[in-house]
Amino acid sequence: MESKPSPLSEMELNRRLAELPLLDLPELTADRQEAAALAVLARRRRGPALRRVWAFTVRELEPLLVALVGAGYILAAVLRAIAAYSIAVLP
Amino acid sequence: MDVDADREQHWLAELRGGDEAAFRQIYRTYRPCLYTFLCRLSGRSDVAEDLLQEVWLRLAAHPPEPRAGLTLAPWLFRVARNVFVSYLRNRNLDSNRLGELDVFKFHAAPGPGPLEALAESESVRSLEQALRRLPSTDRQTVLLVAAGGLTPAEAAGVLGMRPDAFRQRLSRARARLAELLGAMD
Repeated sequence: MESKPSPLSEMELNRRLAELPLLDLPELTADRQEAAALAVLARRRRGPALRRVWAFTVRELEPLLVALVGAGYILAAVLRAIAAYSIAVLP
Repeated sequence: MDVDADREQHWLAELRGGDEAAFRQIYRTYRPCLYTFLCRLSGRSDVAEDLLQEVWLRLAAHPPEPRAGLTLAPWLFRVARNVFVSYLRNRNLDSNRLGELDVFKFHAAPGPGPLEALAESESVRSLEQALRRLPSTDRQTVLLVAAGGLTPAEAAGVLGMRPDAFRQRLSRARARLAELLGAMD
């Protein structure tokens, strides 16, 4: 009668597991993976910077835009008045 | 892979600010153990390479917030394991669809896996083979502690389990591995 093989002892299993070698990527692949991840990192870094620039631009330009629109209204009113005067006075 | 917790917190803070040097430090420190983990989990070096790339892209895009008690190794292993589970799910879906079409039949690759071919001694070769024969959940459990160097509590967090439940699973997985090795030796 064939006997069932006995399992490894805890100590022996620990010893065998400790023997497992650590592997690593081939150098070229490792460099490629690092570069790809750094590109993502750079994009993430640029993202908030662009948003900051956009927020600054809007904040700084808003009064100027309001002033320009206001000036446009005033100019239009003046031109309209001149036109009305011209129509009334000129023969 | 023993890294000072304060240094890790510093790396994380720098990484969140987009610092490349911090990323390089993390990359060099954890690359071999994550690659080894994914290689043994998937049994294929090409798959492990693709999955590892995904881990680094996730770290670069969404690094975890540094906080007291957070260590990088469990976070990285959790991402690696999630990426592997997604890969398995997609592969099973693909193989089911192709199986329905009856175009391709998926079989386990015959002969030794790449890790067994690389093994330098008979003892390591049989261990690689035994690990490959373990069910995926058992393999993850054993590898997180043995190859990943995580504590059982950290490994339990990676698998989303309670530490005592994880210890039971680890004990069962080790017993299965010991049986397989006993039968092979």
